[in-house]
Amino acid sequence: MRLSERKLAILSGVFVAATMTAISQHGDQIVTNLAKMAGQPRQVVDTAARLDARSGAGVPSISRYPVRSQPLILPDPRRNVPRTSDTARMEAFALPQEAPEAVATPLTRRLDLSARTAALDTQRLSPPSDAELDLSRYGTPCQATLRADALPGAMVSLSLDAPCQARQRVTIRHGGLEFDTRTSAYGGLSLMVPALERQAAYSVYFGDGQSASATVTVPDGDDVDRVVLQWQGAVDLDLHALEFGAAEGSNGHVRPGAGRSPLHALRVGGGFLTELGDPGLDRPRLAEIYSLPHGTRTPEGAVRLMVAARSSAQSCGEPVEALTLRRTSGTVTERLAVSFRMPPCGEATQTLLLKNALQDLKIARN
Amino acid sequence: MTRNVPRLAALAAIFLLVVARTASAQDITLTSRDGTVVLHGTLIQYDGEFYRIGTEYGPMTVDGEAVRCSGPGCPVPGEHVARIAMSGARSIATGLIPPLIEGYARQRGLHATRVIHDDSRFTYRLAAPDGPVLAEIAVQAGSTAEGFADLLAGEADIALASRPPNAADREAGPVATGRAQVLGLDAVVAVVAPGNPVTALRLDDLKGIFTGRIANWRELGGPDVAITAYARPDGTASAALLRARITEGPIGAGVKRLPGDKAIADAVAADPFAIGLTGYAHRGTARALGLTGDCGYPVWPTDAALKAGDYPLTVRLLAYRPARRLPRLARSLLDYLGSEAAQALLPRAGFVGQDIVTLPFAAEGPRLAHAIASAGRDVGLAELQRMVAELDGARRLSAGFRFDGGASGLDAGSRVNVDLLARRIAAGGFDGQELIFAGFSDAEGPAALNRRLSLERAEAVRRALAAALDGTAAERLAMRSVGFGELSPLACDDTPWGRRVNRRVEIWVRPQR
Repeated sequence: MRLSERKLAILSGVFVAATMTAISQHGDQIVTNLAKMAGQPRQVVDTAARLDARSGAGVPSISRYPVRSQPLILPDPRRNVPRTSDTARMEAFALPQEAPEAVATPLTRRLDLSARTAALDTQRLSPPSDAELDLSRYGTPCQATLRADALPGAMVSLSLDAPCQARQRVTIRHGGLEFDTRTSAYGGLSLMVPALERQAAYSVYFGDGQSASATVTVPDGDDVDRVVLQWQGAVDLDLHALEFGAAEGSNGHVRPGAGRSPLHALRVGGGFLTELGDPGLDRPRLAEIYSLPHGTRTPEGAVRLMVAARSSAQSCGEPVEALTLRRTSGTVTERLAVSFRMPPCGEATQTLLLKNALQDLKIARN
Repeated sequence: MTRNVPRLAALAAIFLLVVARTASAQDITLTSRDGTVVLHGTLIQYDGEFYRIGTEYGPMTVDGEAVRCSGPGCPVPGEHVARIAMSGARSIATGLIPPLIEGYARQRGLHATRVIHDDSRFTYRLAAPDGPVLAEIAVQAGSTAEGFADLLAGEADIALASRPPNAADREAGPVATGRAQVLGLDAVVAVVAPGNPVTALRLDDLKGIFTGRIANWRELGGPDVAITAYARPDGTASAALLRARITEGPIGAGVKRLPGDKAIADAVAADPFAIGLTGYAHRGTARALGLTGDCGYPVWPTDAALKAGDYPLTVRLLAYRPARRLPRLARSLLDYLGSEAAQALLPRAGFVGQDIVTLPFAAEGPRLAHAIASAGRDVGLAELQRMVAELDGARRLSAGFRFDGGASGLDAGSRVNVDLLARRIAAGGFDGQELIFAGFSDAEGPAALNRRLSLERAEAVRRALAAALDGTAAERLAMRSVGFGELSPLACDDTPWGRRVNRRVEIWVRPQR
């Protein structure tokens, strides 16, 4: 009997050890199954489980680990404002605050670890608070990081990760180009920006002084002609390009709403328009850029550029200050400030078309 | 009582107007340092050096160093903003002037702002990097005739012209013709859509199209489709050149008129059955046609052909200054416009600079072919071999030299080229080189006579250059004249313009042997 009692104790010990090993090895699955039983949404649990596995099973602070950056979505080249669908998805990701109860409680309760780890926390480790460590609410460092990757058409994909700057206004600068936009609910930002240099440097600045920068070599940086129109404030300005003798409103009339894409330009020829900046901000810096790659599919001839200014009840009759940047054939970017007055106030909105404000872009073949 | 308020206001307004008239904010008194001469008047302009004031004797310019200024109109030291106005041809004002002013600002380290009033009027504001505005340059785009009129009326300091003043301009008043400066080159070109199969037309065909005699492409060997012809409105230099050089009379009623060169180029580019006359610089996507004769050797409008004066409808773009002294800013700007730095900016705007470049003998393939094809009766293989032996290994200067009529008097463009070349030589640009003055003629008359005539013309250009150099640099380079006669025609000899293009002097450069 004593023997059998010992055997039983050993067996139960082995069982407990095996269970623990099994839990530590198959934590993911167990968590998933537990969560399934608890009726949690699959998506959230999956995320928590992945994090759990990465951090080592059983660490109570799983919730503090970040959901690795937003899903890889090719940014919309036309308006690089975080889209509402993205925001919604990110907020779904932000749920881990609730997830830990669902995941960790059954484990800790069964193994009765909570008391011991609590003691460890308070007596031995007494970890500093997030604020002291400069951590975000996801437990990651507050430091903002910017990543720049070259894309065809002398475009650059910018990925900003600034966990402590959720939904903050951010200014992006590059070679004279400057615009304001907003980070996501999550402190991230992903957009496509034209390069005005072959060795392109990008910087982002937040209102509290935080900044980050990145550089990238753009292999085809000298092979795209660019004209930038940028301005600040709630003024409705648009850059229009009439390509190679195209009539207004025709296929070759590149404008907002018919801005094309870098891919289209490379496949079919002609140029494309990029709109940058968030018009929803207060006095935002906005920019529109027309890019014309020197591709073999681009015909010989000239692209006429125009500025369209549409007046509103607020902007009518007001003076406008804009800045134009122009870079052709890989030369130094030329800056020119442009100033004019919006159409006078009246009953209907009026559009002023400035046809001689910008020099043509010319493509010559030899 | 309330009824009187508007009347009172009106009275007050009149009173203010009267006061403003009598004691204008522009009133100044200039007193010479010794106090003996006193001038009263209204300040027209102060350029930082000179006062220009309207007096009872008329407008006068007074050296600021020699006088003291008193009165409400006196400029405040340090707050002086130089102001100049330009007016004239639309294509120069909107196409050529903006990049040049921006280049000037860059060279001077100034920040430029373009203030747009409308599509025909803009002002460049040039400011120091630390803020204060130093200069304002107002530009009015209209026509050459308007530019001359504005210059005459004192409303412009510089007139932008694509032709010298004509009788009508002179009738209005004395436009100072001796004070022109070449800004760059443009040309009147016939353009068609990129898909149009026509590549060159005879001047006579163009005449037919623009007088209305030829109305269908079938008459030119094309499909049976009506021709849509575009030209600039009467009153523009372009229309004047069309009448003088192409239609030699009134322009056909069926020719559609569009206000600007760009508008014509764009309309033609979009219509495969259209033809238009527009500016070389603004041809955009439309394709420029060559001019040909019956012999079938077209002269193409290219940068090199415009520079050399080979293309017959080349237009020199001019800046005219008034007889009066210009403000310092205007003088400095005009100096810049003539500089090599400014000329180098022209190609990007579509215009052609007058700067002298050299082209290798290897680039002369088409004209050699032309020379071989037209050799025969008068000109034999030995003559061709002589030319190749002289010129192989040498480089041709882009500047060409031509003569007024049959005389050996150089035309205006060639005189400018002589000056430019003399400056290059004086600056050491051709040290240790040999300049070969190669004269060519048309094929009218006996070959021996043509050879002698061409040698005389080559000598005339060499003498003009030697006179411009006035002894300087003579020992640093060698100069020699040769006459090739009718050996290497550029255009067909069956038209007056073709013969004129062929009567020329080229300069070739090679290291001294």
